[in-house]
Amino acid sequence: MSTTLREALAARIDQVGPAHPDLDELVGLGERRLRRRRIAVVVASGAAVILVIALAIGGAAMINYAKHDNGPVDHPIHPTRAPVRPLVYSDDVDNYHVGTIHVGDQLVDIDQGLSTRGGWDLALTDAGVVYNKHSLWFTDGGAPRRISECGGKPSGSSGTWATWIDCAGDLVVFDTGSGQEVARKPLPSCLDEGWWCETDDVVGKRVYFTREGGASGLRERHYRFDVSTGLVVAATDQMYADDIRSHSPGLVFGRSWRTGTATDEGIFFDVVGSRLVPTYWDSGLPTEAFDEATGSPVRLSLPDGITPPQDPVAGSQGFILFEALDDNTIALVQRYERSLNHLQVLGDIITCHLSNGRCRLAVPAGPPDQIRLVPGMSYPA
Amino acid sequence: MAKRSQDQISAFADLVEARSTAMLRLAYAVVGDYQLAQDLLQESLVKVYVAWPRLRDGAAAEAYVRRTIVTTAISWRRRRSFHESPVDAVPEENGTDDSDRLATHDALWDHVRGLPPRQRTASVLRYYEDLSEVETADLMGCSTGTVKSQVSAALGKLRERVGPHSGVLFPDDQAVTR
Repeated sequence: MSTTLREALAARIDQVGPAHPDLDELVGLGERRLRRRRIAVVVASGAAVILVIALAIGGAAMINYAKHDNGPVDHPIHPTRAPVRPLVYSDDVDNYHVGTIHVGDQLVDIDQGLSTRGGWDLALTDAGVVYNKHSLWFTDGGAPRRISECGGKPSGSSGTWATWIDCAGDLVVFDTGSGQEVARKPLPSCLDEGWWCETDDVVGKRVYFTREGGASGLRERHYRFDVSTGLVVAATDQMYADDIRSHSPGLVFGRSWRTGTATDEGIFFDVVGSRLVPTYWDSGLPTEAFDEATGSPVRLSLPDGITPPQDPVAGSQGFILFEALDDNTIALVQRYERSLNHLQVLGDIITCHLSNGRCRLAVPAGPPDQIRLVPGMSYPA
Repeated sequence: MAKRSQDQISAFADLVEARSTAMLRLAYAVVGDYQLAQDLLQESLVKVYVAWPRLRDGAAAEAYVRRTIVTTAISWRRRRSFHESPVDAVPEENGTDDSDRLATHDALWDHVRGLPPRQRTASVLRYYEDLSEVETADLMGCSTGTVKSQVSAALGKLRERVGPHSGVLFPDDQAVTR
């Protein structure tokens, strides 16, 4: 006797149910999420535990590395200047699809479907942009070329390296400047049933990646692959913070340059009068920013000509640091929630000089119904 | 803090009451695991609660939940897609006796669960949910061309794995026999 594919599928799927979601729990979770979305200031008492959510350069996934203030740390000074990176963003986004991206002053057709509401599968390097469109592609502002037949979410770096874990479970390190594969490390445990791996960041010659899964699907393990030695070791938050401090241009946040936490992206800048005040994303507590390379305090000023947010939720307006263009220049995007529909809106892009705190309007916001994406930010939802 | 109004919560509750079972089945279809499906449904309903003011009616809300289930499922499973999920055991090729019918369904389902996430999702949306290629593409946030290629690859693998004498009529087979 024959059976159709639909009958066979229905025979199993229709056995599921009935569902009995707990309405009170759903409403409670929803209300908590609404409160979080307002980025409210939480008044904390006692010792503060600081959590910085760092957005990997151009990466889609947030790296949940808790960064605790563990006391004085030496900050090596790095006077060498990194190459100037092109500003990368897209104003051609609709229905989970990115048509074109701006790479500096070049407009590149990437025709990339976004599979999720999560982060944009895009990674920045000094040489250009790596993006995932079924396979991995690279553009330096010119015609895109395929660099991997089958790769996962790519991660960029403060140099020219990009990394990803391919379909065979190999961690691949690729130099986008030379177009050559630099290293390949098989990771058999990433193929274990119920587990999966994803790269988080490349810092210097070290690749950080996460293995997640387990019976509950919630266990996470962080690892570091050293390209020079070929070794993989378990990674700690402190190891990551120390590497960032040593290799990546960016800022240090905290009470002082010496004791603060280094990160190169992902800090919320609250608009207070004409100032942009660095603020911890989770707690909403204001802090201070210091130039990682020089140790000088960084006090950013709101430039003239900023587009007023359209009907924002009170307290939701601010700027997000999303790209370091060189050792002295960072790019931030205006971000707020629109009260009409609670959609996240990305508006003006500004660039700021760390040395003098001056910012300028680089790319004005588009029309109200235009969706803007920048590396590391999620599709509006 | 702004909270949802009582009217909004009531409308949300109506949606949960009326459509949760169907949405749980969709979640189960795309992830192939009951516990994951329950987590996925909860996550999706919380998202629709947060988005409720911009969802003008129940139909829009259900569409939003369905889309959220599919996109979130692909997001969860995308990172596992470096390899095809192994099934517990590869069943032997089934015969065509009536007594084997249930075993055939079970075997086919195991093979569906073993497909890569996008192939599995596209297949169940097309052949369980009976969605068109356009509707499937819209839910998955991809092009119709991608849907076609994913479904084609999925059907090819399923055909190969269940074997020619399984008694399962795949879409092309059905077209021929009609």
